[in-house]
Amino acid sequence: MSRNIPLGFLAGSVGPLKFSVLGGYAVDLVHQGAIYADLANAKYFGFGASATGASTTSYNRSTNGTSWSTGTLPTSTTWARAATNGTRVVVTSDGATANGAYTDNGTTWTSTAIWSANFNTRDIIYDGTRFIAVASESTSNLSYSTTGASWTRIDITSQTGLWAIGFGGGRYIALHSSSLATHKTCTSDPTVNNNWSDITLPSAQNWQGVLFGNGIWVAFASDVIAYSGNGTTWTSVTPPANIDGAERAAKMFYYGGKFYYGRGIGSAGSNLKVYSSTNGATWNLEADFAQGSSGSDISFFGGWADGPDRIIGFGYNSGTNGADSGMVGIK
Amino acid sequence: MNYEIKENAVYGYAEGQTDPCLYQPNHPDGSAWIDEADAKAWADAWVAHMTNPEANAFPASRS
Repeated sequence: MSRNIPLGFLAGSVGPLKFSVLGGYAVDLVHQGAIYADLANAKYFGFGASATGASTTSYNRSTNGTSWSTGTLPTSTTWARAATNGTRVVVTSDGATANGAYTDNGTTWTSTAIWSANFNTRDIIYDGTRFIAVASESTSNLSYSTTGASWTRIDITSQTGLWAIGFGGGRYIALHSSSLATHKTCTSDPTVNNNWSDITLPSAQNWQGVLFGNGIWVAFASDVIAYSGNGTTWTSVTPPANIDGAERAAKMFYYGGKFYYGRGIGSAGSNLKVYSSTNGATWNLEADFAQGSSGSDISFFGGWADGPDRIIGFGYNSGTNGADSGMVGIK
Repeated sequence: MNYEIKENAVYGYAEGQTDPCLYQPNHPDGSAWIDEADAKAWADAWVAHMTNPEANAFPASRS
C-alpha cells in the first residue's frame, strides 16, 4: 500500500529558529536561570535576582511562553540556574545559601538542602539519572541527587571552586571558578571523586560554561570560545562579539545542530544580536534586531528555556532595573 | 607545558599527559598561520600564558 508522506515530516529535519524580541514579563528580574518543563501549572520558568540585583522570592512563569505571571519561591535569595528531570524542576541560588527548591507542579515549591553550608551554586544539570550541582566554594563543591529532595556532597577538585558543569556523549566536564586552564572531567560514575581527572583548556580564563551537542564540546569565556571533538583536545577561537564579562553559565544553548549565544552591546536601546555555530569554530550572525523600547534593555541572557515550539531567552540587565524583555526563537 | 608544530597546526601538551590538550590549526582570530614561524610565535606566547597567566595574557588576537 502506498502512502504519501507530507512535506515537513521527511528525514526529521530541524528548521532554523526565527528570533524576535519578547516582552511582557510579570516581574522585572535580573534573570540568572531558566528552564522548560511540562508541569501542570507552569512550563516556562525564569529565575533571578530582583530588579536591583537583590534577593527575591519572585520568579516568572508561563504555561505558553506568551502570557506571564509572578510565582513565589520559598526563600528570599538570588535565584539562579535550574534543571529538570521532566517531572520536577530544581532551582538553585547563587546567594550564599545551603538551600535550593523544587516543584512538581510549577507553583508549589519545597525547599531542599543542596549543601551542608551556605554555598553559592553556580550550575546544575540533570544527566538522565541524577541532578548534579556545583558551587564556587573550594571543598565539597559537587552535590548530587536522584530526586532533588536529598543530596550528597563530594570533593572532585583540590583546587578552587567550580563554576559550570556539562554532560554529553558519556563525559562530564566541570569548570573551575577562577582563571584557570586546568579543569575536571569524568567518563564514568560522577559520584565517585576518584573518577574525576584533569583536562586542560587552551587558556587560563574565567570560563563561564561548557555544553555538548552533536558530538562537539563548546566552552566559553567572556571573549574566548574553545571547542573539542573529544573533550580532551581543544581548539581556541575568538568569537565575533564578546559573550560578556559577567560570569554566567547560561549564556549559550544548543538546538538542532547549532550552538547559539545572544547579547546586546552594552548601551540602552542597542541591538540584540544572535550568533550560531554548527562546529564551534565558525560563528555566524543569525539575527540582529532592536531591543524593546519599554523599560530596561538586555546586556545578555541569563537563561534559556527550550520548549516544544520555542526557545525563550531571559534577559539579564546590570541590576539597576532588571530586564523586562527577552528573546524568543520560534521553532 | 610544551608544544609541537606539525601538519600546519600547533599541538599543545600539558605536563604528564601524552594526548594533546591543544589543537590549533589556525590563529584563534580565524586567520591562517602565515608560516611555521608565525605558528611558533603564537605557540611560544601560548606557553608563556599557560605557565604564568597572571603575567602573560592569552594571545587571542594579532597585535
